[in-house]
Order: sequence, then structure tokens, then C-alpha cells
Amino acid sequence: MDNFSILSKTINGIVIFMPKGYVNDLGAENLEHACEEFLSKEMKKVVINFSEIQYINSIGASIFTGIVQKIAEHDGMLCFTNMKKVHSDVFEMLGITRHVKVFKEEKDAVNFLKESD
Amino acid sequence: MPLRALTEKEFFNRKEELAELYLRALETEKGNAQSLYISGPRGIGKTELLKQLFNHLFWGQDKIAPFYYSVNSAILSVQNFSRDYLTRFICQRLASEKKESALAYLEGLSMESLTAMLEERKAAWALEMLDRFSQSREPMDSLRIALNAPYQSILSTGMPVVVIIDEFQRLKHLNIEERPEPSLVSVFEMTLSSKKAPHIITGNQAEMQEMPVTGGLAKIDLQPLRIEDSTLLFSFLLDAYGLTMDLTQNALLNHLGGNPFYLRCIAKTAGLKKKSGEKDLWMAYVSEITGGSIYLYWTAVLKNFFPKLGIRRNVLEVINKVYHTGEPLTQQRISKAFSLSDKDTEIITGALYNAGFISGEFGVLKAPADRVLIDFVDCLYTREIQGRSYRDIEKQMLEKTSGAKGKGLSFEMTIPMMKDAELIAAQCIEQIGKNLHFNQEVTGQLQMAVIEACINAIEHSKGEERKIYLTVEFIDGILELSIESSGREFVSKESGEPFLGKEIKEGINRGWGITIMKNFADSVSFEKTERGTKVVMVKSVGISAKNSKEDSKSGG
Repeated sequence: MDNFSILSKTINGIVIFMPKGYVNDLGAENLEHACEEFLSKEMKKVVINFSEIQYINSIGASIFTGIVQKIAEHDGMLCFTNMKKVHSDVFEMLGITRHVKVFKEEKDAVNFLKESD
Repeated sequence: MPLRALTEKEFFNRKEELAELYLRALETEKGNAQSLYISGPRGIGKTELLKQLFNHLFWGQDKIAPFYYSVNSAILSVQNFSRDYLTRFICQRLASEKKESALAYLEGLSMESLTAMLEERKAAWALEMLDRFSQSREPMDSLRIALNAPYQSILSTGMPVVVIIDEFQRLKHLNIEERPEPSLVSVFEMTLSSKKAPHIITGNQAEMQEMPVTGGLAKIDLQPLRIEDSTLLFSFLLDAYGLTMDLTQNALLNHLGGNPFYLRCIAKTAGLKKKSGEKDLWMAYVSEITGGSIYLYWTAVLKNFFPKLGIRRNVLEVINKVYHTGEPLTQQRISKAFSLSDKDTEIITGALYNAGFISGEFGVLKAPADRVLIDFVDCLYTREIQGRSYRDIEKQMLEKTSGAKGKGLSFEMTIPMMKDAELIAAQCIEQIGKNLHFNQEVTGQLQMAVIEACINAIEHSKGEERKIYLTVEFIDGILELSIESSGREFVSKESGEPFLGKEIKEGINRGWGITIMKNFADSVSFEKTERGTKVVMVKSVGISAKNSKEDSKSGG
């Protein structure tokens, strides 16, 4: 059984990803491809809910820079939510949190993105 | 300044020996004193005892003139030695009359300056001696004049002389025009038998025992300090650094075997670190034998006896064999074990015996009683022959000596390098964290760090043994995680830091693993090991409130 999976849903044009398990290079690339799919459909508001993420390795985390970059290229917005301290520390180390909005809860991110219209 | 000695306060626990030597020296006045040879292992305090004796005789009475001479390995041509010996004797002899310490300590005085000084002082006996020395043509004549100078001075002035010679064994290297003449030392036989100018000599025990000239001398064996005296000395030394500790039944002091040199070295290292816990003292000990003064001392001895680089590896192998075979060895067994010719074995074991690394003066070789020396050799062997790291040595020594491991918890796990193997290590850390009640955040950090270390291990062990060895040790709130695997190219030999592989340098996605490890652990080190490479991460671990309560319950 794979240690990684992604659930996604949309609320009012906002894409919410809920990755689960271990974010390594393959997991992060899956997430990147899923983002690209939605971006190609002009759905540019993205939330990644980390509540089900158990572990992230450095390769997986650094692939997030690609996700950030692609969303920025589409003039989109990216929010992270429900992050464990250790995961936000890793993204901080990699300088990724400078380019995303981080919220404690998913609903906070959704409200923020709704209001940003 | 050859005569600079410790102050009386610092000179511990040799009062009886000093008193005995002092009384024996005073016998010289009656003209029936006998020359003495002081025997004892390296570092036991022979030199200091002689210096103290000189100072006591110099300042404490005026019936006998003491003469102290330490044979210098740089002054061993007969001409130079004779000149140095004679000038120093004359200076010290004159100095003792009016207690002129500056004259006793005078260094590098030329013959001309000495002549001028003697003329000014109207020391006819010394001028005559110097004149005869200047006129001598043959090196042997010069040597005889120099060695007989104390006796001649007695005949001229009536003042008895006690000659004190340190590093006497070096005299076997006396040479004429750079041709070694070991038999020259036999010239001392006559002077050593003088009852009016007795000699008190010391030097390297093993070499001295092999010199026929010492055969007819009375011998005093200088014993190691008793444990209570070691304790007193060590407390005194720590006190100088503002440290105090209870040294009752201290295992380290026992281990040092009453050797004042070792005691001073350890006290200094511990004192400079301002730490005096029992474990700190052992840490100071390990630091000393792996790189401190004790290490420098013994490596200098080894290099002195084995100046050729090429032979030192064989030498270490031989010592290790002698120390750890568990029974005395003959030279034949050593030759066979290392495929050495009998001649080479004879050279190596002979030099090792003279250097004090092995004992057995009748050809059956065994380890010396000095446990510090054995530990030093073990460390050197581990590093130089087995190629293991300082950290391994330190750990091995601490386990061996202080039993620190028994006080903590240790987990070991071997993980095959399969897909996502790093998660097995991470899960293991999670369970350890739960069992030991670590803070969740700390556990998370350790998991991240261990994942990165495992990924590195997997990446750098291509084509070799496909296993990761995870060890977790928890002692006194400190967690040490080590992840070991095959794959030697990972760590730079020079810097001890990991190499960044091509894919790491070029890819934007790699290279963060080490940053993460370093951010989430208090210290990270990369070591080469017998197996390959080991990453060691140490972290001070906060224990949750729940655990503290449980601890206090069980404690109360």
C-alpha cells in the first residue's frame, strides 16, 4: 500500500487538497500535477490542508517551490492550513512560507480566498 | 632553567623519599656515600624528585655542594658534552658557596666568559681545571677531565660534592665526530664508584636497566603515589581552577595508577573546562589520551624510538598484539604473526621495550602495568589502523571506563534499504518518543532528522551492503541518534563534512537534508567507520510534564 494519497474538493471555485501520509518526491510531484490540472482549468485559488500529512522529507518539501512558482505564474493564490509546527519549520527553512498564506484552519483559508475576490 | 622545580606546596607525597636521599647525600661529608640509581616508570616523578633534592641541598645546608645535570639529547658529541658538563659544574659549585641562584641557573656561558669570571673570583682550582680542559687534544681526555671535575674540586677545596644526573640513559648516545660510541659511557664507571663525590642518577627505566654501568649501584625504586596521596594531589590541582569534588573511591584516580604526570594532565584539562563531575573527569581523560598532553607525550616517545614513518604501522600492530593476546608472547610468535624477519622483530620489540611500551626484559613480552598507556595505544590503534573516528573511540572509552552506558537506554535496529525504509526509522522514533514521554514537537523534529539521515544513507550506499543501522541512546536527557551504513564517499576525510553529490549540487530539490538535520538536532557529525559512514545527531530532549509527574511519583 502506498504511503501517500491525495483527496481534493472544490468550494466556490477554491480547490482544496488534502494530501495524506508521507510527502516524498513522488508524493509532492503528484500534488504538483494535481495543481497543474486545476490551474489549466483556470482554478487559481488553492488550499493545501496538511492535517493528514504524517511526514515530509526535504525532497518533497522542496518540490513545493515548484508548486508555489506555478501558481504564481497563473496569478493564483496558495494557502497552507492545519500545519504541524515541525512542518511549518521546514517550509520556513526553505523560504516557502514567504510566498504563501498560512492559516490554522482550512475554513479560515477558504474565507480569506472568498473575500479576496 | 633546568633547576626550576615545583614549590614545596605543589610537591606532594615524596617527602619520605626526599628525606632518604637528603640523608644519604649528607653522608658524603663522612666520605662513605654510595652512588644511587633511582628507578621508576615514566611520569612517576623521578626528575622532580632530583630537582627537589638539589634545591634542598643547595639552600638547606652548606657542607656539601650539589651539582645537577640533565643530559641533553642535543649535546651528545663528546666535545660539546664535556664542555657543557664542566662549565655547568663550575658554575653550580661556585654558586653553592654564596647561594647565588642566578649563577646556578646560568645557561650558555662561553669558556671565555667563564675564565673571566673565575679570574675575578680568584677561583684558582677552577681556572686550573679549565686550563687543562682547554689544552686537552683528545675528546676522551676532555671527557675524563669533565667527569672528574667534581672529584678534583673536592681535592682542591675540601668541599664534598653530590652529583645528580637526570636522563642518564642518553649518555649511551655519546659520540665522537658523529660516530656513536656506546662504550664511552663506561668512563662513568670510575666516577660512579667515588665515595667522596657520589652520583644520584635516573632516567628511562628500561634503558637504564640495560646499561652495565648501573649494575653496581644501589637502587631506589620510586613507587607510584598511594591512592590517598593521589586524591590529595588531584584535589589540590583542581582547587587551583576553583573546582572541588568528592574524590572518595574515584575510579579514575585508581585508573591513573598514582602517576603524578597523568594526574596533573587530567586535572588541567578538567580545570580548564571548569567541570568536575565524575563523567567530566572521564571526558577529560579521553580528551587527554586522544589529543592532550598525555597523547603528545606518548606519541613523542613513539616517534623518537621509531623515527621512520613506514615502520610505525607494524609497531602499532605489534603493541596491540602484545596487549590483547591475553598471554605473554615470545619474539618468535610475533615474527610469525606479522611475517616479520627475526631481525626486524628484534629491532621493533627491543625499541618498544626501551621506550616503555612493553615489558619483559628476558624476551617474554607482555603489556606494562600502566593502564593509561594501554588506553592511549588502544585509541591510536583504533584510529590509525582501524580507521575509526574520534567519536567511536570516545564512546568506546567511556563505555569501558565509566560504565555510562549502563545508566541509560539503548535501542538498536537494522533496516533493509527498501522503498520508504526511512519511515520505519521514523516510526521507531515516534514509539521511543511516546515511551519516554518526549515533547511531541521534539519527536517530530527527530523524525524529520532521522528521515533525512536515512535518505542520505540509502543514496550513498549504492552497490554495497543494503542495510541501515539505527542506534538510539538516551542518557541523562540527551538523545543520541546514529545512522550508519556502507558507502564511504559520503564524508570528506579532510573536513568531516558530507560531500554534495552531483545531483545535489545541480538539482534545486536536494541539499536541504543536511540543513534540516542540523536545524533539528543540537549537533550533527559525520564520521567514517569500519562499516562505512555514520551520521550522529545529538539532541537535548525536553520531557513532557506528564513524565515529570510520573518520575516524581516513582521517586517519592
